[in-house]
Amino acid sequence: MVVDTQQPEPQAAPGGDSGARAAVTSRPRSEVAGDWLGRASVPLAFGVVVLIFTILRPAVFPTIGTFGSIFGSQAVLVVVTLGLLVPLRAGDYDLSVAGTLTLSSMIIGRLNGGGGIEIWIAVAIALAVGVGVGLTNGFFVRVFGINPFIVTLGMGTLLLGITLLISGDQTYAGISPGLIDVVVTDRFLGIPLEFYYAVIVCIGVWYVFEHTTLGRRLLFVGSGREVARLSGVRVERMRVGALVVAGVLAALAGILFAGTSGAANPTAGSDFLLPAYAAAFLGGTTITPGRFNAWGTLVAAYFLVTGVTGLAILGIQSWVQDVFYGGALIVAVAFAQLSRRRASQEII
Amino acid sequence: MTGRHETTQAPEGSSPPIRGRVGSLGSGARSGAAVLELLEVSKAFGSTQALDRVSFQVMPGRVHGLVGQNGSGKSTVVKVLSGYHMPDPGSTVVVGGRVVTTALSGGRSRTLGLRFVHQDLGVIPELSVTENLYVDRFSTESQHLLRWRDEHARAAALLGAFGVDVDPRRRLGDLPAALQAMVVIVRAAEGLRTTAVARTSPSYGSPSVSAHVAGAGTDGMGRSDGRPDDGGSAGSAAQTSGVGVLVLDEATAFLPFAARAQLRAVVQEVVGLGHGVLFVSHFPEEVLDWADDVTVLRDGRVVADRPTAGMDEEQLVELIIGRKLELVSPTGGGSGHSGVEDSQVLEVHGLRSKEIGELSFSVRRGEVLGITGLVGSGHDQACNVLGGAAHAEAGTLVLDGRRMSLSNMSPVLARRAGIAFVPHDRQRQGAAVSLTVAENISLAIMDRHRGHLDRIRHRQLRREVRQLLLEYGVQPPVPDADLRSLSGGNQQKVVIAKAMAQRPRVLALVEPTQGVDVGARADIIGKLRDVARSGTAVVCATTDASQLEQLCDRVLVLRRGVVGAELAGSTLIEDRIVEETYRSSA
Repeated sequence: MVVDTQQPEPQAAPGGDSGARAAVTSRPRSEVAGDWLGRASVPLAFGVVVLIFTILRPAVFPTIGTFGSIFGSQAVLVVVTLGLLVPLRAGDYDLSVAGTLTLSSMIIGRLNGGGGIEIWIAVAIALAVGVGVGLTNGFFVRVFGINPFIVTLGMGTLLLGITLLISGDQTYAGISPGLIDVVVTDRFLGIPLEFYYAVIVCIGVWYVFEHTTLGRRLLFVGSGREVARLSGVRVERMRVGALVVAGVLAALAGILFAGTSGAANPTAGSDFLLPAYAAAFLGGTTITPGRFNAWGTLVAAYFLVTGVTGLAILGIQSWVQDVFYGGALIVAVAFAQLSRRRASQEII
Repeated sequence: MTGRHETTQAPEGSSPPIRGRVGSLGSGARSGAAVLELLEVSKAFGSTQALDRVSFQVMPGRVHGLVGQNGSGKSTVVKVLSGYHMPDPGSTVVVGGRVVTTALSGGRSRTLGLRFVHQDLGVIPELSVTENLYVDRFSTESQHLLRWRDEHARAAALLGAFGVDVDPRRRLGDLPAALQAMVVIVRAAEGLRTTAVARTSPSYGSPSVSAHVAGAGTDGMGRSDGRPDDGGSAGSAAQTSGVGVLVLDEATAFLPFAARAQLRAVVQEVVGLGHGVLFVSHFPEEVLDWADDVTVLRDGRVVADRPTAGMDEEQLVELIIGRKLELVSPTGGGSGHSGVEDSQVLEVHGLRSKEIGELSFSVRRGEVLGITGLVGSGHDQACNVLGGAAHAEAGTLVLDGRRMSLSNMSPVLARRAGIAFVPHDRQRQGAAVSLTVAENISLAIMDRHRGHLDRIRHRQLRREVRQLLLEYGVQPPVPDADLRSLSGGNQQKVVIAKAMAQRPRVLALVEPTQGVDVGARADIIGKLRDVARSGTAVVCATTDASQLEQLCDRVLVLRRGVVGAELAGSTLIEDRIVEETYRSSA
């Protein structure tokens, strides 16, 4: 039932016997350089893209305004991607994050913008709904043993339906300036505060992934589920927990989304699903190649957004966005596959 | 042989066919021509010479063993044959009398008459035996409707011809591993036959293939359609015989010891049809038992290539490792009286499970208890239950005086109780091969290196990991190496190091040296003796009798889920263990 989520899975090395020892002990220098290049691939590409757009549109592109808008407005994408990264690390897909995001932003819009309820209460309710979605996903995964891919696919659509229901298919504006200020209006170093929220979430995810025993157990749940189980890791509990974290972060992204646009649209959030997966998989090819990782995801998300923004500045139509994100997802997965194949080649 | 060298220049697809010069001899009589020949095959990976001018021949109707330690190059040979590796220039491979000039590909080695059975078998467990058996044909022939009854009947007949008795309707995954392997071998043999038939049919395959590769019908009537003028007669005999080569690539390594004998019978059937078998194996005794000829590789070179007749196991092992094997003497046999006598660490009472009728045993401090039996006797169940990997219906466990129920054992409880478990399937259950050595071991020990905010104290952790790697002789002792870059034996050492790093009271292992080379096997057995000596109770389930003799102080032989015999001291010898094991089936 485990979906292959591109974690470097045990690609049963054919045969099992090999000259492997030599390969590891005396790794040639050039290969180390290759490693380094692999790690830095996306940051480097990022730099190249920025350079190209700067040369093409020196007056518009390299401005505080442009970067402020890129870093600020796309914090939503970063946060939702970091959210789905957690179940991905545990070997599970969560396709409901975009639905959760949309519902969460609509809760803010409907309760605060439309219903006049205190913004903090609306925020709390939105986060609670995120927990609820995660728990519901987890319930079906754990109790019925259903593949999370399917459960969350259904859940995502279900949530979009609920969003339409509670919104009556209209956009709610009038969201409290209190939220809008702390999300997008207030700036630090010229960049809206929401960027820093995204960075804080990223640091949190990075810390848990790389530096805690919890994160390491999560890694084993994704990369060797049976190993984890037999080593006394409570695998199912970890998987449910990962889905709950994804729900909460998706809800947080929805709150930021509402704050950024100042309104809640019942369908806009679904546009985030594909870019989020593109960023997660692209991020998995860099920094620590072959693993879903926090910083790689952050860089990849901004790389993608910068590409799209730059193309828009060049005057290319909006269709390019879909082409760009869709293409990036395929390319990222292809690269991940390639590096995986290379890795297994190395041990022959 | 030098004549064949020149033939490497023969352009493909242009030589005129030559009418059969071959008589109608049965394949068995044609012992002069090899079905597979490697001639000075080399392969280098960077500065590592994986194969250094390796030459040997596989004769029709014979089993040819290929042995060597991990890293000796035997896998590389298989990968050259399967087309995974392109051999270096100057290498010549002759398959069925046909000189292979370009890299073999999967499809090409098939049409030339090579079939592979790998360790992982390549089956689809969800499908029936029949479907697995005919998976090629279903996909290559455009039959609109399959008559399942006919298909099953044909499958049964085919399996029966090889002495395999199994209902072809059954889901393959439900069969024991040994039976699955037999089905796969039958499939490969059938593939060799149909390829030979197809080769005689002009409508099959690409023109160049049918023009080049001569074959004969299964009726044994030599009939050659055509072949390149290779200027030598050596190749012609084999290529017209309608036989091919079955490559068994460590296919037995993960099978229970006792099941291999059944497999051997099937392989003998294949050989009886005139095919050659290349039998790649870790196990010297098995090679001696199965093979007519053997090639020993060491460091990429052929160090011996001769018939097995008159060779004993010790000789072969010495050839493999290049030195006298310091067999781990069962000195531990005396450890029962090592001072702390009769302090029972572990007692199991009335264990019942699907495979076990009723099992009770106890293990003393510092003792290694072996549990063995035929496949299906439930010999591995006790360890699996102790590790929380299998469900028990009833039973209690007394560990250091604490009583626990076995029927709700889980990995978490096992670990908490001080039981470490080394499961059978290293690649899936023992360790995550895509993660690093340090990460794998850390799963067991990171709780000891935890700081504020659940933080892992990386430096401390690594220090302990490095120490463990040295202690358990893992090569290379590099914590950050991906586990899959290590050889099988070293991976297993990591798994055992990880288990022992929990500082358990009881270590339960299932087949701890399966798929591991001779040197690592001796290391592991020695290490497990050390573990016992240091006071851990060790329970080891294995069907490998010589391992039991070397490792254990006491052995329980299970017969259909109950203890049939208990061997210790002077009765604890390999022959006796085997005897008792087989007696149980009677």
